[in-house]
Amino acid sequence: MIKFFIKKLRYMILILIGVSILTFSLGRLAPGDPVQSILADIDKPLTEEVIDDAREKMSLNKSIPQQYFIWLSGILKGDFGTCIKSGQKVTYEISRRIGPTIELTLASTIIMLLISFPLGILSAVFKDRIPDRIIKFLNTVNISFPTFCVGIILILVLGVRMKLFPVMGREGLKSLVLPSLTLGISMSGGLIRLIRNELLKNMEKDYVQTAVVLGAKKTSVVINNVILNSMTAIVTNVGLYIGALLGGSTIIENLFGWPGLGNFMIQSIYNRDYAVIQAYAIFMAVIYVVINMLVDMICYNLNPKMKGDPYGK
Amino acid sequence: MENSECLSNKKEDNLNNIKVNSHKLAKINKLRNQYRFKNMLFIIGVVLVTLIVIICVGAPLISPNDPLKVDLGKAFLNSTNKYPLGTDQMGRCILSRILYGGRTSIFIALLSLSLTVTIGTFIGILSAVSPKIVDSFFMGICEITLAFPGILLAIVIVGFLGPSIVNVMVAISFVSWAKYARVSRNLVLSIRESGFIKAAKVCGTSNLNIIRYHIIPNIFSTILTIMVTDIGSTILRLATLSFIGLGAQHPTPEWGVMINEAREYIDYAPNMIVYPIIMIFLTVASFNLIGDSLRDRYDGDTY
Repeated sequence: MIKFFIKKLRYMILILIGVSILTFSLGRLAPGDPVQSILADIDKPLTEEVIDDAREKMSLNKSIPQQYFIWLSGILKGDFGTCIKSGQKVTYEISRRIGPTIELTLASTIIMLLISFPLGILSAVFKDRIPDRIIKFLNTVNISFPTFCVGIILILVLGVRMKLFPVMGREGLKSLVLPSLTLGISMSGGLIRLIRNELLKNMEKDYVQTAVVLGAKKTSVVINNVILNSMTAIVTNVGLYIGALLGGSTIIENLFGWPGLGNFMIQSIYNRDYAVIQAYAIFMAVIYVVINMLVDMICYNLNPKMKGDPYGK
Repeated sequence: MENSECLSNKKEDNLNNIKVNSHKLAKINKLRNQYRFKNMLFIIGVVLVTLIVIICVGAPLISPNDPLKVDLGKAFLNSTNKYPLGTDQMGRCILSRILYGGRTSIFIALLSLSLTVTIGTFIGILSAVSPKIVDSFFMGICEITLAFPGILLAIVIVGFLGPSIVNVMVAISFVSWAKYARVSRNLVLSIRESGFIKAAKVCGTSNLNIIRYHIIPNIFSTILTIMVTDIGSTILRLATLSFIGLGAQHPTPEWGVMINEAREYIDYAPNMIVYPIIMIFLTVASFNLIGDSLRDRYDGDTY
């Protein structure tokens, strides 16, 4: 087991290094001179001397690989630079916004699971019959709606017409309802499909037939046995969804004015705040790595076959 | 006596045969019905897509007004003869903007999808014919890109490059080439060992020519199928990025941009926001209908 994880860890560290190189070079490639953009707020006249001084300070006159290592060592110490607009450390700004994002992630994951497990099981058990048809149809409709359109429809119906929930900001539990409902509904589309297909794949196996022949109800076999056997694929995908949500479901946070990471990221793009964008990219990569490790750990415990075969292939 | 027994046995056999046949017939009927249902969905999809493409391409001929003409005196009109779907906050005709917007959306989606497919197929073929180290390097990158949440990565890339429609196209191609690379690599690997490639090699055809005249025509149809299934989701992504203000910029008529502008007036003028949503939904749904039935034909039942 430890061997398996050390191998995985090596792979993950390679990913992190790759992402950091990519982020760094994208930051350098970005239009605009970083010195100019930082000095733009200072009142001093922009003489050659001031610019040179700033270049020296930001070590821009060194070679690119040297710059990369200076930047990387800063990041390892947790120094991502300062946010242009507020003048605060980027780390501080991000840590302030992680709370709301986690809150939203938890709520929408719960809603997503609550929607997609029953519907997915129903759809698989009643394959090609009326419940399956209805769920398929609703699912196709759901998948064809962009997330933000789901949000807007919910705002229109529940927020504006019926005035049940607040539509903007984050005040109390009531304001969590609409954004998490939006995310839960639109993310369940893919998950229902996945659960149905995984279950169907496993339901063709011999042990299900044996159990049914011996007199067990098909539904109970599915709930008690088949689900556990399809869990690996489902857990992997749910993990990916959670990772995407933790990165800040940018669009929905923007739509509902939720003070989370995604919204902050969009504001930073408008402000051309490259330090924040870089920090965000690194943050996403770290989340991806951590979630992947967790998912692997869960799958490892769920599926004894993986113990013999370290790559699960 | 013996004869009659024999006869009755034969009769039973015949009866059994008929029973089996009727059972088979029911099964065939069921399959045929399913096939008809799927075919009908496909036809509905094709008809809708054709209609949408026609009205969007012909937007300059059909649209009643200039989509960019601002007339503040006529803001927030309800539907009239001159403005069938009403006007927006600047007095621009919503119907005209929707028609022109569809032009932008579909055109940009197809363009960025072609870019994606070209890059992906190129890398896939390259990695299939390269030595193993290069191959596993490319496939490693593929795996990482596939596992990352695509839209977030696209947002980060647009963040670095700056918001504009070209950058959004670049970003979307950058995050979605991996699927095509993987598929085309596997296809190339599977047909590389077949007889006609070996024959071509024996005849002394150069590697480049083998790729050009034998491999690409062979993988083309599969890649095209996947491409058609992806049109809907590409339109969705583009609209999403435009909606948060990273894609098409303000005066350009585009569905995402229109929804973004309309959301400030959501309680005052809901028609401004509802019509673009309906259009996005119809377009994506009909492209998905076509894509799903194509996928059914090639992959079996994975709806």
